[in-house]
Amino acid sequence: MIELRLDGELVLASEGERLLDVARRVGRRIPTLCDHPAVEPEGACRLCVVEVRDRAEGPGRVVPSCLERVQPGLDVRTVTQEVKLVRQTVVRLLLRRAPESAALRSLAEEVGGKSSEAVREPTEPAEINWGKSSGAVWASEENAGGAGCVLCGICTRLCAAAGYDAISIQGRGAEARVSGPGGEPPEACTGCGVCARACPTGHILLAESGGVRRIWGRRFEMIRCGGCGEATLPRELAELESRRLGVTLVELTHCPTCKRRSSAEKFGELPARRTREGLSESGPMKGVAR
Amino acid sequence: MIRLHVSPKLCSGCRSCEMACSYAHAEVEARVAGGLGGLRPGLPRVRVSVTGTRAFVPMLCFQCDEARCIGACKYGALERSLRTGAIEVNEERCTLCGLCAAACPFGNMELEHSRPAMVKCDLCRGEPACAKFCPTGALRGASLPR
Ligand code: SF4
Ligand code: SF4
Ligand code: SF4
Ligand code: SF4
Ligand code: FES
Repeated sequence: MIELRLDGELVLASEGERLLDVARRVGRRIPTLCDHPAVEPEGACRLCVVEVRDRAEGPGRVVPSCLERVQPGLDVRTVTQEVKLVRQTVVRLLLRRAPESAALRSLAEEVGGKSSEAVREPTEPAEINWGKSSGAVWASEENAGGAGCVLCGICTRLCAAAGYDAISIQGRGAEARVSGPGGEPPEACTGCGVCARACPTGHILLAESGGVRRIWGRRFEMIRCGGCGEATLPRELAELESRRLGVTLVELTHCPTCKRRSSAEKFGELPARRTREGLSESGPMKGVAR
Repeated sequence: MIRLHVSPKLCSGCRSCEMACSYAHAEVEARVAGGLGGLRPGLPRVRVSVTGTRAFVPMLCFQCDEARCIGACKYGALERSLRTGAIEVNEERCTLCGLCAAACPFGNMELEHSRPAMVKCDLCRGEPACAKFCPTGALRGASLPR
């Protein structure tokens, strides 16, 4: 256990814990844009900054709390003039890139310094990831896309973590944007849609209709469930994952309802003796999945 | 370790388990403008399936020893609880890619659209509500030593 000071309070943290996680654990609200629990932090947005001092009297440093780890005796302040200023500047710059983003707008309202109390007493923002980033903003089938990219890199990191590595940030400065290699539609994209769902601004267009999914300028045929015909997975994704998992394409693309129905047929027919006693101790499907 | 014993032959098809599960996973909704808020029941993690011969089979996660869903997840969002033995979804890490549900051979994992979130039986973190409310003993919970 490591002891440190957070806004004057003594708090305990475990070795290697991030300041962001400690602060949230004890109830502080720290805005973030580029942090996602499933991938390594990158420190891209600098919204999550806090001020730290190695000693209570020393000079302060403003650091991204998603990157900074706890240290014994560290003095952390989550609300200072410096911190407020950085957050406001960041939001102002990001709003230029993504003026349409509802998440960013509500964030701007919150850190925007309407009064000096705005940061101290935040209101509940509508759609920003205050410590629960994934799924907080659902880029749905109706997602219009194009709300503006803030270069948070969540999409590129998640895509790489999945092993597809289809997109990256291309270009620099005002020209920078996310796309496939050379600004082209990404050839390695599987159409999984993870990037669109996780994008905090709703920038990535994902549209699906008539059994076709469109994303990043590409079109993906959706495989339909062999039982009911519901669209399940894009063919490219299903074929890739079917090979990786060693599961047939047909099984992988059956919907849960139809799979439940066919397995119920099997279990309903199990011998009465076994079923009366309950299925075997360690579950009937011990070792079924390879 | 918690085990749920399922005996389809004893199931009367009353669906008390589904109801119990829904409420065991209900969420308190915030009051929204113009509305009252309240309790929003979750998607039941147990479903009573009716077979061709009109038999009832309660279907729920088997917490497989070699679970395909865990192998399917690329984001480390599925973890087995050491305490209950249940495979649990870490919703903060989950990207809703749906591969776990696709990989499950039995259809015991599903997307709850309204939240949205990937849901599956978590053995109620140790106290299976379905077993408590099952009137026929078709679902029975048992606590095993590790
Ligand atoms: S939809 Fe394509 S670009 Fe987006 S995460 Fe999936 S594979 Fe990567
Ligand atoms: S497209 Fe969205 S997720 Fe990707 S870098 Fe831009 S803002 Fe972030
Ligand atoms: S839906 Fe969530 S839990 Fe399931 S495989 Fe995808 S990331 Fe993992
Ligand atoms: S044990 Fe709990 S989560 Fe699992 S099916 Fe029963 S009620 Fe639902
Ligand atoms: S969340 Fe820490 S820099 Fe973006």
